[in-house]
Amino acid sequence: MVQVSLSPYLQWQTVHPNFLLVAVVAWSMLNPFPKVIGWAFLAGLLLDIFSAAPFGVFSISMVLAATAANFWFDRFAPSAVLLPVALILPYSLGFDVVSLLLQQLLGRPVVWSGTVLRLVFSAGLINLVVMMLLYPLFQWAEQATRRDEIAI
Amino acid sequence: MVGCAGFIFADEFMENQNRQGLLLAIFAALIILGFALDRLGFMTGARIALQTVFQPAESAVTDAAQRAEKLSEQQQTVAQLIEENNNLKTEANRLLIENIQLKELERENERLRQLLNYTRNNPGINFEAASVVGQVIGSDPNNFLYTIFIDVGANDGVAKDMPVVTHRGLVGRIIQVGPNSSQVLLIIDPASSVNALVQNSRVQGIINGELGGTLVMERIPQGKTVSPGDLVLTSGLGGNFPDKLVIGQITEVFQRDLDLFQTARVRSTVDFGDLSTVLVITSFKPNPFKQELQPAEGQN
Repeated sequence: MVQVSLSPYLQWQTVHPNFLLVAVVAWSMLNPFPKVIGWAFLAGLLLDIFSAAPFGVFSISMVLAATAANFWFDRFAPSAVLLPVALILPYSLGFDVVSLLLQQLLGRPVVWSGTVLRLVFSAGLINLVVMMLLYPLFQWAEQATRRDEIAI
Repeated sequence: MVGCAGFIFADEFMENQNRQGLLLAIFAALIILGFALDRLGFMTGARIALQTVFQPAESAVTDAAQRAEKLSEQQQTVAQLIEENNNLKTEANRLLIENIQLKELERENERLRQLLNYTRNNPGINFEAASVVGQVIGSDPNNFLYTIFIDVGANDGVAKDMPVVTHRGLVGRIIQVGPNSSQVLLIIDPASSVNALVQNSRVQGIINGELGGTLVMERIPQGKTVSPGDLVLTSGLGGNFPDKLVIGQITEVFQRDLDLFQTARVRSTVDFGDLSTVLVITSFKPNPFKQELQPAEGQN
């Protein structure tokens, strides 16, 4: 809802950030796969509900992005920030390209022109900025939940 | 002895009395003299001289008194100023809020006036105003789809495929309806397709959306003249939109002899980045054109 409501106000040259994708990728890098996949699916489902795209496009794209991002789980130092933040760029590009491919497969017209590339790259850069702001929060949240689990 | 002492006392008493009388007499004489001199105008110089001598002391005392008075006044004034300042701040805040509200009302008034003019200019069409609280209540979460959410739905008489316009022109059509909200597919979305004609030459074509918020008019027959600056309207063909709704203006024409059709780039008259209030044309029922063309049962 936040993404749907805020996107008209957070646009930069008709491109707005994908908060859910950033959240899913960040969470996937910090947590084991079983703890991630459900959230990824839920996030994709929410995007599908609020989007005019054929249903399922974003659920699939989001699960794929989460699976790919989970490759980095436990491969970074817990305090590492730069590399995880930078990785949102390829994941964002991958997510957009996969979702556009799926849309085309499901019959929606997609114009693979310079405009698409411009939008895809612009969206990736905006998501990078959002990731820089949100990733430390996710690190903190992950450490907090880990402490709780150890305490239990 | 006693008599002698009495005389002495009496003499002293009389002497004192005389001295006091003399002093009083002298003072009285001086006062009368001064009064007389003053009346005659001889005291001015003396006064100035005395004032000059005593002026520094007088100033010092006056200054001290004034300082004391000011200090007392300042203590009172600071308290008053603080109170006054608080009152002014409250007043300024109230006026600021009032100003913002008035500006907002002015803008809303302007928008509604434009929409009213538009409805008056099109009396044959029944409009349902879709007033969005503040701004458009949402847009598609994906960057490659151009849809918006508006705050009117089935309860307001809105149905699927109804056209959505502003006073500037065609916005799109309803693709999904909830009880109190609807989703609008904007004409700039690549999935949108509108039958259109060029106002001057009556040449027909199809307006398609492009990523990035631009419009392209396709299927313009070769040999027909279309020029930058021409206005593009809905043609009404296909029954999906009413005719004569403004879509935009041609900015560029692409004509190649080998192609079957010409193509033109169209700039929409609607600013899709600043949509706040839209109209849903509830009286317009899209014509199920294809269903009507289906062959009747038993006919092949």
